[in-house]
Amino acid sequence: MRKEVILGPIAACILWYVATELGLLDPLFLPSPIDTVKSLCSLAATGVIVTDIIGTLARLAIGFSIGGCVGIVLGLPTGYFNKLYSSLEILIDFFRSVPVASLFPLFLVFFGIGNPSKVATAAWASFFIVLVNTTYGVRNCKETRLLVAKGMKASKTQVFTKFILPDSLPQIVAGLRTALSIALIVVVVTEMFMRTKAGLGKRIYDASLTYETAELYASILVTGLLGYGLNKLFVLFESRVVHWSGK
Amino acid sequence: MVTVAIDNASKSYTRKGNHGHDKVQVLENLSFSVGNGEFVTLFGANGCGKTTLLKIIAGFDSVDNGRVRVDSLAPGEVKTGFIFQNYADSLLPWKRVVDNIALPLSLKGFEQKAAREKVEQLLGELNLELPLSAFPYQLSAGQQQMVAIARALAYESELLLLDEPFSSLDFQTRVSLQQEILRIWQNRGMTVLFVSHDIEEALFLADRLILLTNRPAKVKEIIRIELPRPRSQEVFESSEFSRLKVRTTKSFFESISECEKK
Repeated sequence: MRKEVILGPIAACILWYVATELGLLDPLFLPSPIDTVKSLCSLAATGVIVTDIIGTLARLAIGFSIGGCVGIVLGLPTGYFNKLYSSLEILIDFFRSVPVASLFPLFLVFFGIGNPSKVATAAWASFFIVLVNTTYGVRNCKETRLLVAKGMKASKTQVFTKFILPDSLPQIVAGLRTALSIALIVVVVTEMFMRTKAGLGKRIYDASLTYETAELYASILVTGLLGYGLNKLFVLFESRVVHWSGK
Repeated sequence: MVTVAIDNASKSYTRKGNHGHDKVQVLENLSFSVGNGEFVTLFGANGCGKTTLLKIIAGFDSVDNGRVRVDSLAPGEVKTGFIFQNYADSLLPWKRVVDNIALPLSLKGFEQKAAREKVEQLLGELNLELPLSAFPYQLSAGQQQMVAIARALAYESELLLLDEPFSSLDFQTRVSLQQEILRIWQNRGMTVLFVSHDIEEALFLADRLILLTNRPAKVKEIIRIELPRPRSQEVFESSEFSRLKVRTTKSFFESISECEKK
């Protein structure tokens, strides 16, 4: 890896440290990096942060999986059948334009204040992103490749499994990657506002309510690292599964 | 080996214009035939309907009037290989080169191992070397187009339709692929219909060159090319080649000015 990639993060830490040492900002707004790390250590030592991470990850995993699977399963026929696509186009565009946050109250009514509503919200958000990407992936299959299939007298099943499905895979996977990032945001936000026993959103919100700024920053740091790590892992997965993407 | 017969073919399509729908006549009373095992090039201005014509012969599209027969059958009934100008879009980037060439075999139900063996045998017969385990996007442009051609041969195409296959390649690659396609044609003996907008290429390759007019496409002239085979780059220096080139160029510009007079 290129060496200079770590320069940015190091510079940011130094800047953070210097700013707090010079007392440029009230520690209530910005604690020193050392206090933040100390708080992180104590959160880790008692194990509470691990429970939070597991809680958030579990909701994310279930919500994202449900939304992603349903999105692919419904997106394939929607992209494949022109009439189905035309009749659903407005509905899909409408629902994916509704900010998912505006639906929180509805999800609370339908699923209660427990885990199901948080999972359902994440699933809903993932679903539309994956649905739209799968639909367009199928619709944007290369015309030339379909002619190749036709020229070689491929059966309808073969055209679908051997041409359309692999050709739309890069966009489906790209949709899954976006959905994963959005689902993480949704889970953290629902944990803040729908309350829960363990979750990073809850940890952040509680820390802010009690003015535990160091803990607040430590929790944000963990959440950020989690999102970053998940995305990196997914990109790695993507480069293996759809190696031809963008080439 | 097959013959192609096109008899009074007409084709138009409607296009959305500024003032509603325009009817565009692409082909009009077009007739010509291609003999068994013959190498024929179609030459004409860009956008004159050569691609449409080729797609009709492949069975991807149909004529409004007239008749198109491949070996007295409807287009698409006889095994036909179509080589597109855009090689990257015609290959399957998720499959290795060997499996790309083996595609027609796997569609027929061959096991992967058997299909791969057949491909290696085919390439051996053709004396073609390609990086079989690479993915198409890792190959040079010329090699990718050769993969597409090899795939059409694996399909045992009796008729090969090439739509400006080398026009996006650099000069050196184009010259070497022109030699390759001639070599393969002489080795296999299939009927070839090759669309080109490069006059030298069209003359160098063909037994006959069919000069098409501007849209709607009609046959302006058919030029028989009796240059000796096998042909090499030296052909370009011969006086016969120069004569043919002058004649074709003249006829081409005649057809354009006739079109502008209308």
